[in-house]
Amino acid sequence: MNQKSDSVLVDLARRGDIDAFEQLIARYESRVFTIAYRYTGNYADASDLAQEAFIRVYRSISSFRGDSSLLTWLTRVVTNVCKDELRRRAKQKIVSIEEMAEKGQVSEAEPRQKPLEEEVLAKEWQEEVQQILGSLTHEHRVVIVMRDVQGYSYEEIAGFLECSLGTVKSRLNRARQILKNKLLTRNELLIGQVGHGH
Amino acid sequence: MQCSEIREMLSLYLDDVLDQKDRAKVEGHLKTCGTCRQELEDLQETVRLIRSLGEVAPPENFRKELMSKLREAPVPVGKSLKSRIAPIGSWLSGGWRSGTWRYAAAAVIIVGIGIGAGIYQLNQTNLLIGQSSELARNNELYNTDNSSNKMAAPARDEFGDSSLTYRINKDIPEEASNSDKIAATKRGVGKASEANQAGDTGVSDESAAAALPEAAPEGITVQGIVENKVKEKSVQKIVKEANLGLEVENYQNFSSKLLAVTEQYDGYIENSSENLNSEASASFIIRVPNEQFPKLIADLEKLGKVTTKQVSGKDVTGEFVDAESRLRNYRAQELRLLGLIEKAENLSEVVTLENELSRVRGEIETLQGRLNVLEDTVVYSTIRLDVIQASKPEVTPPEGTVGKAISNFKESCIALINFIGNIVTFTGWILPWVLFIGATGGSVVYYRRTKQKRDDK
Repeated sequence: MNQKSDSVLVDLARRGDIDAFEQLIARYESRVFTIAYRYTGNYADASDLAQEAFIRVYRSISSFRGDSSLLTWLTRVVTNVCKDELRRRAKQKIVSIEEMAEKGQVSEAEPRQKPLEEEVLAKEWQEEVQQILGSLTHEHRVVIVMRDVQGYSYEEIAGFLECSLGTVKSRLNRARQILKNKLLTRNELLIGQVGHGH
Repeated sequence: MQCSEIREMLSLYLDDVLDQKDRAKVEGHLKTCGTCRQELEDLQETVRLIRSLGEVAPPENFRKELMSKLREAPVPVGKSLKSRIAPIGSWLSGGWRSGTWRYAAAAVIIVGIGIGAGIYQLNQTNLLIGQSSELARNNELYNTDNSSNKMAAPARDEFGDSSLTYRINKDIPEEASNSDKIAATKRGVGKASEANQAGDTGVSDESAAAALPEAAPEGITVQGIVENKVKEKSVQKIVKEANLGLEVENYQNFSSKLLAVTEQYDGYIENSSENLNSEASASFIIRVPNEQFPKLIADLEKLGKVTTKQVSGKDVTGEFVDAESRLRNYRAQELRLLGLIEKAENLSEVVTLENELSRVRGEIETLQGRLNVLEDTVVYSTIRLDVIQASKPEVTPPEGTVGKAISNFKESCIALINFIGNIVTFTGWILPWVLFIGATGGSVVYYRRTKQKRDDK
């Protein structure tokens, strides 16, 4: 069952076989979810957005020509869904993710006396990085995720964001600088605490 | 090559998307600059870290939830999602039917209003015999397309009293002549100290070492200025700055246009802060190559209503030349000191000279920094841009037509009232004629009738 290729499953799904589509979901849910999670920084939103992406793909699966791989298509869709959602939120200014993340950071930064075994550290560090990523403005976060998480080219990013190549370049440069500075300060803080802990 | 310029390119260098020329520049600079090398390493580390982030498993019920959504309603979007992703949901599902009705209703209203306006206008033109100019203006406003009318009318009104300032500093030539004078006076001093120096060279090396730091810089500085005076006339260094205030209809639209325009003229946004509340506002510091400065400003002005504008130019040629020649001076002095250190005979001499050398080198660095900053501000002009979104609430797409219809309805009501008023005034105007004609006609008829009666008799 699992050996069926994407194109076979897509064909089945196109003819209304929803179970075939479920197999495709099983195959790619982690990837799609991870992308959504990098954009939003929380499970609930990431779930909703990743699901929305799958639903969109399912709805228009009959138009899928197979020029690119299904995964490419899925990631494009989830990228667009997330990008639009972030932009919409920034506009509406519901409690912004940035603010939430920042608050979370401050409260969490003070009491940190967990054992710093390597595994824990690695996992925590990942969360830490995610949090710092979440503290960027949505514009900066979007370019970072597109470039450094998803590995899109500058041209592709410009296409997603409907802006010029130059804008992508300067925005990515700026975003990386900010991210770097935040990571550096965070890192120093952590190292400092390791020193005190021992 | 400046570090700031290199840093702008490091991220691109990392991704290997620089063209060959820029890459060579960056690589060349990295060989000599430790700070920038560190910067690059940190950036690399950052990117590596982000790339190393692993996959995150979705929550357990993710697929179950998704499948039930898909099974439940393959076409419309599921419930919980609809609330979260409201715009898409409402457009694709329930919105359609009520939307059609809305548009149909709006269409009826608009057609009705259109006919009404037509009749109104017909009547107006018929009635407009010797009417006041106020009415004429009303009519003219009404004639213009409604949507543009809404924008144009307040714009025209506010433009008169808005604080539109346009000020170009006219003191450029003044400053140039100032620096002329300074140079002239210094030239005088220069001759004196040149003579001084000639005297100094006669003295032994030891005493020269002590005298040099004080006497030499001045002497050479003045020479530098005199030399550079010739160059100065051909290359003027002017720092251009502009403060621009804009009011825009839709900030979101504006910001994307702003980026595009800025890029178009090879400019960049050095700093920006946005406030995206209901009344969005933002301020930007935009840097743009000097020669593109006027063009960019002209284009920026097109993006909204200009509320304030101030353009200024400052001639820094004098400052520039001064810094440059002082730098050259210190460099020369550095060389001489190095020569003297080699010839020094005892330790205390060496120490004194070394101290002097490090002071001179400090000066060189400061001057170089100052020159870099100057060069940067001269090559790139600065535009400070403040943007506010016009406080009038933005018309949202679905409600827009209805809203327009409502405002049209209001305007039509006003027009109707005007129309009735006009009928009344017209009646007032025509009444004497009616009375006159009626009276004349009546008397003629009366005369004829009585005459006929008499004839009958």
